[in-house]
Amino acid sequence: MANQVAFWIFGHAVVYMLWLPAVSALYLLIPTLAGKPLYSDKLGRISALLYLVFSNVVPIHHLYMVNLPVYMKFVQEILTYGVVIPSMMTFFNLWATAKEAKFSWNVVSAFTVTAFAGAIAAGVTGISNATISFDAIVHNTMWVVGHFHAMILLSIVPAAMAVVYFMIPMLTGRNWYSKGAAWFHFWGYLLGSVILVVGMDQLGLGGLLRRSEIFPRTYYFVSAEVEVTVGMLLAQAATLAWLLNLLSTLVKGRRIELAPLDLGQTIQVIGVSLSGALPTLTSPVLRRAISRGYGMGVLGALIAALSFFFLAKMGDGYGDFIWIWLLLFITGVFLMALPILRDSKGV
Amino acid sequence: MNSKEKWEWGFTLSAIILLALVAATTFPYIFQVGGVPAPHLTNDAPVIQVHLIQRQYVFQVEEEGPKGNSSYYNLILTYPSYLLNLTATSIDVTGNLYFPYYSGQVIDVQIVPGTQAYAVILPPSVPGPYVFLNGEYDGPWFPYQVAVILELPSSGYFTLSDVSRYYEQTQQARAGALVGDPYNPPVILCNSTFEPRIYLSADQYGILNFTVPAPTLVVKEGANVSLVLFFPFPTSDSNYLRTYVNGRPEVVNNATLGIYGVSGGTLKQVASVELRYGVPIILNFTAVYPAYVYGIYYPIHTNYSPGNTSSPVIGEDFGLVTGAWGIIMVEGG
Repeated sequence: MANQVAFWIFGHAVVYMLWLPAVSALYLLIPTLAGKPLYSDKLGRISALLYLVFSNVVPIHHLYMVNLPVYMKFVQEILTYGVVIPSMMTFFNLWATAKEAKFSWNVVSAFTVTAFAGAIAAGVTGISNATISFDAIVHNTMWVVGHFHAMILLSIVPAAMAVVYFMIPMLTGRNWYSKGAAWFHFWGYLLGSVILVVGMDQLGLGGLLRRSEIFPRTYYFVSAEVEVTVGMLLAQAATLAWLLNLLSTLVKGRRIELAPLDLGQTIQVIGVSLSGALPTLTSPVLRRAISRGYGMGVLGALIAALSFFFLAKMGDGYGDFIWIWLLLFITGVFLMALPILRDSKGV
Repeated sequence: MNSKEKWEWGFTLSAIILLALVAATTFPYIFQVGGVPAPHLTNDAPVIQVHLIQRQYVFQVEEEGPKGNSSYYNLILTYPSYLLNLTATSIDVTGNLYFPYYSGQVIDVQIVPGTQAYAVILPPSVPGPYVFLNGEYDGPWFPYQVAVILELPSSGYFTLSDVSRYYEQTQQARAGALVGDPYNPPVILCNSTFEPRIYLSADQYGILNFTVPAPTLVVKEGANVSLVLFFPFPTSDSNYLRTYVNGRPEVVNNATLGIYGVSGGTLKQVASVELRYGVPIILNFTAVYPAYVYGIYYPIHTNYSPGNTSSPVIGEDFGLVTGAWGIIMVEGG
């Protein structure tokens, strides 16, 4: 028991060693890309302070299912919720900063937005893990693996990639060799990572223990294992494209003169060179897309809403309802997004 | 406070309120794990009440079944169509019941001191032994703590059809999903003779034929069975048959190899012999019960403490362990 407590008290810090640089990158990138100052400097400072306090008092939430007093675990649940507060403050602050800003849709901003949205998606699975009664169900299953993969693949790595995409030209004086490869990297990585995380979550909700080398050869588990594999391969292929692009950039990238520019201008210039189109919240592109695709968007919303009927009927997760839900939900979201994607030429 | 600050603090406060609501509404449930799905309790299926007590390396089982009350180690007895209404507790160790039934659903229940864990296990459709294990430590590859749900026929012996279906589904599973799986034991058919002589050998970890539980044997009703077991001298600390006494390693010499008939919800010893190493050990019996448990069924106390170094401060590793045991199915007719 002492070993376990000591391990987590000293070991849990690794989570925030990875996460806080990603948050810092978002605090830099979002105001820069939005071309606006941070919405609230004070809120940002308080968030940092709360992160410092709460990130160090939560490690025992890994030990809900061991022989510790139940009330101590409940205190730990509350303290773990405490670390959600600076995250919520950060999300609000960054969202308010980006609100009504003229965002350039480029690879840097795409990875930045992914890191922001991914942190929320992955964070929600973290809140559920932090809840003892939920953890009792998913403890030691693939759900836990899905949570930290979501946190790393959907938030920490995208934030790092956003930084890498502007730092490589800064450091080398060469701009990215291939814009197409950069976009392939973004979409392939995003899609692959989402599929991988959904598959892991599905396995965990089915009760499969992590580290299991065997699993029931039933449709539910086999399909989820296949999802994880396909997602991993896609994300890896996309990352390989990034690596080749990086190597090509180092050798054959066009020379770019960034010395006279400050950091914000540098990020903007590199971003523009990696841009798709400009679907800003106030752009004519978006307005045109919304006006032309209004009916399709409403239909998509209705289908997405309908899908939750099957989700509610899913019961213990064994059966076809999960697939009906997933198919309808993705179709609905796609129909809602289609007009914007079409007019933005971002894909 | 200006409008901007009101938004900031309003949003933060709403997050705090939401989290407080979650904490308050889930608080009553932190004292239990799992739950009994309502549909299972409302149907008319007969129920066997099972109390599973997690020990360090074994499950202790107390059962209230149709054949009376019984206690076992690492064994749950059930019958076709019976639901197992399982309550799991532990006094001092953390554990887990992991039942990855390879052609059905996964049961995964944490067993934690201070809480009550509940689960309902539906009977497999084909009678026979099905394994579950403690998944808390290293998943399915933690070698010893594996247990069996033994589904006996409703009455009498296993029929030829029962044996065929069980053998077929086990073979199918082992050829696919369970390749390399040491925990769903292979089936050895010995039902073509009334004088079967079965040889099993333990490995460096003290388990028979590299599997925990040991292979499932199938014999004919009335057969005169000779079970020949061989245990090499334990030389590794990884072998539970080697323990530490006063800080020095010793092999376990007081273990009993036995054959136990499963009848009326109890285990009746029909043959036994003291464990010896390096020589064949022969157990003879006539197959008159529907099923038997064989091998070192009753767990052995083992302690890893070289030089008496283990202590509550730096860590301890001791408990009841068994690995060299298995099930014999008896085919009637």
